[in-house]
Parts: sequence; structure tokens; C-alpha cells
Amino acid sequence: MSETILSLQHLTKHYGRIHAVNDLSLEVNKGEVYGILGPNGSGKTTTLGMILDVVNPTSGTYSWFGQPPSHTHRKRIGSILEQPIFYPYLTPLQNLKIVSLIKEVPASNAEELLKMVGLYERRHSKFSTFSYGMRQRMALAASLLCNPEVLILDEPTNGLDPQGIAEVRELIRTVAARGVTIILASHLLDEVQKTCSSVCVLDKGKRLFAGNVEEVLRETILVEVAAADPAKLEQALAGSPLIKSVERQHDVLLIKLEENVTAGDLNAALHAQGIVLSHLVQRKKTLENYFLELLKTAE
Amino acid sequence: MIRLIKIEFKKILSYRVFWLLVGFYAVSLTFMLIVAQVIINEILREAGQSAPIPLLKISLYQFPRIWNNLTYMAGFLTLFLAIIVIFFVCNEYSNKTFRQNIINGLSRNEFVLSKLYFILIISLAATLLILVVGLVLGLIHTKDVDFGDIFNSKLQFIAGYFVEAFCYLLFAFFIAFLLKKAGLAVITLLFYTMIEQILIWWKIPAEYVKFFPMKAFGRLVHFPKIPLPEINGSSIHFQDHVSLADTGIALLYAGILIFLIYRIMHKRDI
Repeated sequence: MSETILSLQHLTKHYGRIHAVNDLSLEVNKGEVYGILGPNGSGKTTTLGMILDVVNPTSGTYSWFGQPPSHTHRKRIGSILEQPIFYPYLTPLQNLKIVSLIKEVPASNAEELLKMVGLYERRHSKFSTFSYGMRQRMALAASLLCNPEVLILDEPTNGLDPQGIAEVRELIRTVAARGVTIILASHLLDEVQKTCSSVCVLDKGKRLFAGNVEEVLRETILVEVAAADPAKLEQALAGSPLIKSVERQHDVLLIKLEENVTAGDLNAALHAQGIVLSHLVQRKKTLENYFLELLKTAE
Repeated sequence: MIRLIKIEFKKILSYRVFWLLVGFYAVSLTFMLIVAQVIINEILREAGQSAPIPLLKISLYQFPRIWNNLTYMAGFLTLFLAIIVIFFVCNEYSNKTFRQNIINGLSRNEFVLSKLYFILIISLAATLLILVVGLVLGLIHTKDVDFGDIFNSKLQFIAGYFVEAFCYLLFAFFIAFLLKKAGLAVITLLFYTMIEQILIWWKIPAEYVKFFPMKAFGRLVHFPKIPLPEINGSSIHFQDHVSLADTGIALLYAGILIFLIYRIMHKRDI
């Protein structure tokens, strides 16, 4: 069994009557790229705030590295929450020096990190003169300063240009390849699908799903079909044991197949009943479909 | 401890506004201490022209009384230091760097502690400045300087000023920490000082006055004894030593403030 890095038990945060996070339990294992997914206001940032001790949980507990929370754990974690935050009147090097003193690590690789994120030329400029994209890069450099065992990213590609987004993705891959555990909160499904191995879906502070991304995507096969006589097709499908559900989408029928049933099986069965399909497409299931489905069932 | 002081130092080292304010304070304080005697004697000369008996010129800078005189005058400028503390603390909130410090791995207690060290160092620096200015002025103005006159029991006023400054800055830190916004905190500090004063004039019996925070801090170094004939029935309270009871009250307030700051720190979402 793999080592548990982060464990949440019934973590709850209420702001007055608003339940920002509601009875959330989950586990993140060593080396995972773990996505926390949910629409805006679903409790992602509050959850990250709690595990970083800037938000006090209303109830519930969490543990880092199998131990009760302590600020010494945060020294082993690199994190970027919401916005990059630094002393505006200090230069990147001075800011990184403060981070290194807090984390009790040497600042010897500060210049190298600034080169990596492309800020070396601006190492003597004040942070306040930086553009948003540069600030984001600066935050990345700071989060890597301590050679983190865990990297926490909240909407890491927010406000970056396409090149920046590609770079951040590349960085996540490189860092993950080193065995660093990554926790990534995002509302961008595509981003999570491209980078994460496990995912937890939140809505209104509640956990809707937690598990492996590939499993989610493999679970069921979606097929679009259409025929010259739609009524007859629908009738034939209604009683078929091969399918889980049928849904009309514009002029095609969207079918969810039972497990271990392929699109070919369906085609053969319909053909045997004298129905010739004019349209048969196997849809690749995306996290987005799944996500929207989950949100629908939650309502 | 060294690490926390280092962190605070890094935060202000290249912060030009901070050093401008500190420099302005140091120059103002030195200037005030130097010109005070000239101004007071000018006032006395004016008053002396119409007085039935000639008023004597006074010297503020004779050892050992100088320590009492200078620390009393310096008390008027401590407000300026309080404003610097308020801006420095509130900046950490408005820039959200406080939150980022915690995320990076500073504990909440360490953050409070680092700010307490900061206040301690500021109070210490201000006290040292007064000590140095005092030594120079005293050596210039005292005839036949005796070593025992310089470093005698009147130096307790220097210690008294240090406690006064620390407690007062702690009060400013508390307000800044509570309210998070610099402008609001400065106004609250001034407003509170005013309200307390009005309340004392209006309702409070004299024996309870010393229990109010601003009074408690201010009484540590109170109105110095000056060689004027005491007027009968005068309500001016002259002081020739720092009262232990007053020190106790001030330190008790310091303890309460520190306790409250820690409480708020742990209850609050950052």
C-alpha cells in the first residue's frame, strides 16, 4: 500500500449559514497528481485554506504525512493559493530570501529558479512592477524553493497566456516525474483530465466523487445512433438488455452501454431486428460529460 | 528568535518608506530635545518681564535630572512610532503577506512573536537614541561632570521610558491587529486616547485614573520635577522616581494585550 500524504476526515467549514465545505473526507497518496474539481464556490479554496492552517475548520480534522497538523509540515510543502503574494516593495531575490528563512532552507538555488521561470533578468526589479503572468511565475519559483515533497496549486493557469499555461503543465509533469505529490484545484476540467491521476469532485462543499481519473473515463461507453425510422429505433432500444439508458439529443439518440458491451454488439443486435443505422459514433467520454452528469444527479 | 528577527529585518531592509519614517522620527526627536530648553527659557523670559519676582532660567540638561526631562519630552513623540508600527502590521494584512507567511510555514505564534520582537527592538532603539542624545547634551551643559551624576539612580527614567514605549507600541499593535486597516487603526488609537482623557476629566475619581491604559503607560515617566516654587493647591503631580506600582499596572496591561493578540490570532481565519 502506498504512503498517505494527506488525509482529511469529515472536514467542515461553515461561514454563518453557508456550508463552504461539508463533511469532506479524502486521502492523497504519495506521488499522486490529485485534482480537486468543482465549479466556482464549491469549496476548493476553503479546503486548501484549511489544510494550510489559514482557515480554521468548524469541525473535522486533517493530517499531513500521517501526523497531526503542524507548521513544520508546511515547510515541506510548496503552495500557490489564489493569487501570487509577495512583498511588493522587495525584489524577487529579497522575497525568495524571506521564503527561505521561513521554510528554513538555503536560498542558494534562488537564482537558478528565477532563471527557470524566466525572471532572472528582472531579479532586481520590485515585485510591484511585475505583470500578472510574471507574478504567477514568481509564485512557482517560490513554491519550488524548498524542494517540496508536496506541491499545492490553486487554479495555477488562471490568467496565464497559452504559452504560460503550456509551461505550467510541463512543469507539473516534470515535478510529478520527480515523485512530488501534487494537489491541484481547478474548475477547468480539461486541465485536470490532462494532468491528474486521481480526482475528487466537489459541489457546494460536498464530495460528489473521489477516485481514479482513468476509471471514471473507462467506466461506460457512450454511443450516438440514428436511423431512417427514429420511432422504430427507439422502440427497439427500449427493451434492449445491452444498454443502460437512452437519451434523445437533437436528431440522434445517446446511448449508455452496459458493461462489456461494445458498439459492434449493439449494431449487430439492431441489424438482427431489421434496423439499419444511418449514424453510429462512439463518443469518447470526457471528464466534462461525467462532471456535468454528477452535478445533475446531485441536484 | 534570531531567525524571526532576521525575517522581520529582511522585510524592512529595502522598504524605503519605513526608513524615511524612522529617520524623520529620529531627527524630530533629537531636534525637539535640543531646542526644548531654548524655547522654555524664552517663555520664562517673556513671563518674567511682568512677574513680581524674577523667574530663574532653567536647565533641562543637568545630570542627573536630564534623564527625567528628556524621557518625559520623548513621550510626546512615541505616537509617531505607534503609527509606524500600525502601518507595518496592517501592511502585512493588506498585502496578504501575513497569510502567505503562514502558508509558507511560519506558525501563527511565530508571526505574533516576530512582531513582538519588532516592537521590542523599536522601543529599544528609541530608548538608546534618547540615552545617546542625553549623554551628549548633558556633557555639554553640565559643569564639573561627575561620573556618579551621569549613571545614577535617575537612569531609571530611561528604563521607565523603555517600558512606556513598549507598552504603548503593543497597544498600537493590538489595535492594528484587531482592525487590519491602517487608517482605521490610527484614527481609533487617537480617538481612544481622546475618549479616555475626556472620561477621566468628566467622571473618574483621581485614585482610579492610574488604571486606564493610556494613563498607566504615560505615568511611568510623568511630569518631571522642575525647580519652580510649588504653588499651593497646584494639581500638578511632580515625579522624582518611576513608581513600581505604575510599572506593575503597565506590565499587567502588556500581558493582557499579548494574551488578547494570541487569542485573536488563533480564533481568526487569515
